[in-house]
Amino acid sequence: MSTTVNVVMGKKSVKPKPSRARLRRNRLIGWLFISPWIIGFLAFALYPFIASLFYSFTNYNILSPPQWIGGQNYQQMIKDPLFWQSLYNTLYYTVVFVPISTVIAIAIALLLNMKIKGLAIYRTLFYLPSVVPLVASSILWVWLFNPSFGFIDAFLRAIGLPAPGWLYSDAWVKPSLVLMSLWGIGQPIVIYLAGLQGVPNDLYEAAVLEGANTWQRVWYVTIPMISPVILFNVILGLIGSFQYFTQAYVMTQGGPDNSSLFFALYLYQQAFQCLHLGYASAMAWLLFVLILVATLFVFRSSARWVYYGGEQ
Amino acid sequence: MGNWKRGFAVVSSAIIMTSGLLASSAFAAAPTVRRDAPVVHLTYWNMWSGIWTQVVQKMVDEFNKTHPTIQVTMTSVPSANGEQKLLTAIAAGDAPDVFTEWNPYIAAFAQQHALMNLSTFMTGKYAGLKHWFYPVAAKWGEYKGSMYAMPWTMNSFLLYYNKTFMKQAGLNPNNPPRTLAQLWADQAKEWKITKDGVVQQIGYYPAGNFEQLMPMFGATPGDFFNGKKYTMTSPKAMSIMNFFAKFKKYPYTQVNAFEKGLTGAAGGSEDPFELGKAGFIVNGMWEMPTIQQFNPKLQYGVVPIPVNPGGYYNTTWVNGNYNEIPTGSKHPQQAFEFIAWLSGYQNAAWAARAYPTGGWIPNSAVITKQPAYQKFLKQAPLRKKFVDVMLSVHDAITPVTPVDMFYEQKLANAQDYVLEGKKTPYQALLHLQQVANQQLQQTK
Repeated sequence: MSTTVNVVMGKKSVKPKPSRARLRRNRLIGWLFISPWIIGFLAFALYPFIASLFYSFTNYNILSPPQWIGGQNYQQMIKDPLFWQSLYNTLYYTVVFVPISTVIAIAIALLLNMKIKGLAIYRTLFYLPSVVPLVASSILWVWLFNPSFGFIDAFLRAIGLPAPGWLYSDAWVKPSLVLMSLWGIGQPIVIYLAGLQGVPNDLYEAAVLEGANTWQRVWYVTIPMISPVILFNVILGLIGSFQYFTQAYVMTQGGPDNSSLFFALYLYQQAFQCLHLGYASAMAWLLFVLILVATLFVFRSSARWVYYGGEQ
Repeated sequence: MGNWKRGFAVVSSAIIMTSGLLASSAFAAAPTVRRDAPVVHLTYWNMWSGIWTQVVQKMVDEFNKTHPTIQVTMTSVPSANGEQKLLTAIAAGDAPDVFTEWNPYIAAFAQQHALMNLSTFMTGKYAGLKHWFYPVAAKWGEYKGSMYAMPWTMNSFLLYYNKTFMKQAGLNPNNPPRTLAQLWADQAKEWKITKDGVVQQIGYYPAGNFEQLMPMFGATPGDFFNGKKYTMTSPKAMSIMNFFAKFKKYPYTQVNAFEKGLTGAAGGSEDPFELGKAGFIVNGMWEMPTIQQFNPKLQYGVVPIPVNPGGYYNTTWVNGNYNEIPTGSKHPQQAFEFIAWLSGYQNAAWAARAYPTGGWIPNSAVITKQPAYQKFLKQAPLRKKFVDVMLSVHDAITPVTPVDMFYEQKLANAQDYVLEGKKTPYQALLHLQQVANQQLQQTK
């Protein structure tokens, strides 16, 4: 009796093998569902990506067919002072913004992770700038930075401090843009906050029992535990900084005296104002390589400072 | 600074506009066309927006009404990337039949074979068209001896002066400056800068006025371009830039911030003169209606731009809007008929009624002389001064080259370098000459 039941149950537990036709149909349906993304990727990402590599070796102005000129665009970059200026501006912004934004975002996330009254309001306030459209916030900051009418300089003058020219001074324009970007770091703050909430409490309890003070708990428990999140945010920050464009386009157009001419802005000017699409493609490929190298460098270095659970 | 230049094409008065729109309903003339004639549909792109779209749409409607066999559909493309859209459309084989463009792109487009040569259409009833325009207006539209863009609406530039400021500074408002030396002396008395260095009022600041000052120093396009290369270190160019260098005594950053900060501060006006914050400004006729709109109590006058010894008084630098037929237009002959009609050729009485609806200066003296346009000038006598200077043989334009847009951007930088005191006039002009010639070389 039991054998029979087992046999019957065994038969029931084995799924019937789907027919080939059904498999083919399922596969087709799968491809159909995914096809909008695949078509979009092929037409609007992969093809332009490969085409831009070809164009980077040509002289191309949209109207005439591209002319093959070999590596001249890349050679011209070396001789182009604005290319170097834009590269310097971009590296300056990246080197200043990424570390500062990381430290400040972690610090704010730590504060927002405390159990205090009105926490939801504080979290909302810090995230709020991230939902303001970039163009709108840029225009707001143009006003705030105005040396004649702006709030910041009025305040500095009122307390007897020197008032910089901000966006109108070639020495101050990049720090101004970094300052403005720091205002909008709500997104990494939220990611750090999520990371902080994943740190097990028993680690802190153990640290307290061992006599660790607050700073030691942060440095020896919190930071290692959220280091994968830091890696994630640093890489995103690096990529975003290398592609910095909108704020400079809206607020300064690269001025004064090209002090805020960032790589992506110069690339845009070359492509769509000067119609040097070959040269702009070459710049785009160089930017791609730069981002790739910087990201690989951070990834490689992460073995030394990123802690994944279970490691010694 | 200098961004206003792009705006000239669309800036004009709501007041003129309103009255003009009302008047435009009287344009119509009865068409006489066979009912079975085939209809050609033209696509027309321009970069006007807001109420100016309505002004131009009225003109297009009028053309459609009087030309039943040619029907024009107008589209406003965003001015921020209109040129890019045009070139992309040409490359894609879907070019509009007509495109309205401002002057600095014409030679570049012609050189890239993006435009049709309009001279080939100027036969038969259009044979006289080339000589119909103000000569200086026609020059902007020409490249290598052929016309590629037809003049439509023009801009001339004069000196506006604030009478109240002159009185306050102990100057005679009935004796505005006639020489640049006098302008320099008069304007110096009108600046207000706080002890913290914050600019509160400007006398005159020449940023972006290099080109407008060309005739005032007796300069012609030939002084800056010899037909093959830019020659920006020429004596005339140096004289203009030396005048700029005098203004480096004023705090560049603060002046820049002051002017930019005014943008929108008074509900849309971005002009320190309109807002009663500047004593003198070089500007076009569109400034008058905007003053009426934003600051109607402003006491001001308008005179020709003061001159340096050897310069030409009662003259102007000229620019404007031009109509083009892009390469790939499906109906170029009808497109030409449309733009010739818009230009007022053999149609001057209509143009004389229509142009005032946009507050426009005509492209031809024939239109200016029409009773309807004379009536428009008499409504505000200062307008006549802007039109009169169009007749001078010494009127100037910027050298027309395929890198004109690039040149103008770099010229603006050069002016800023000198005003800021970062470069001497010679250094700034030499650098401009080098980069412009380098760019010219690259376009060959």
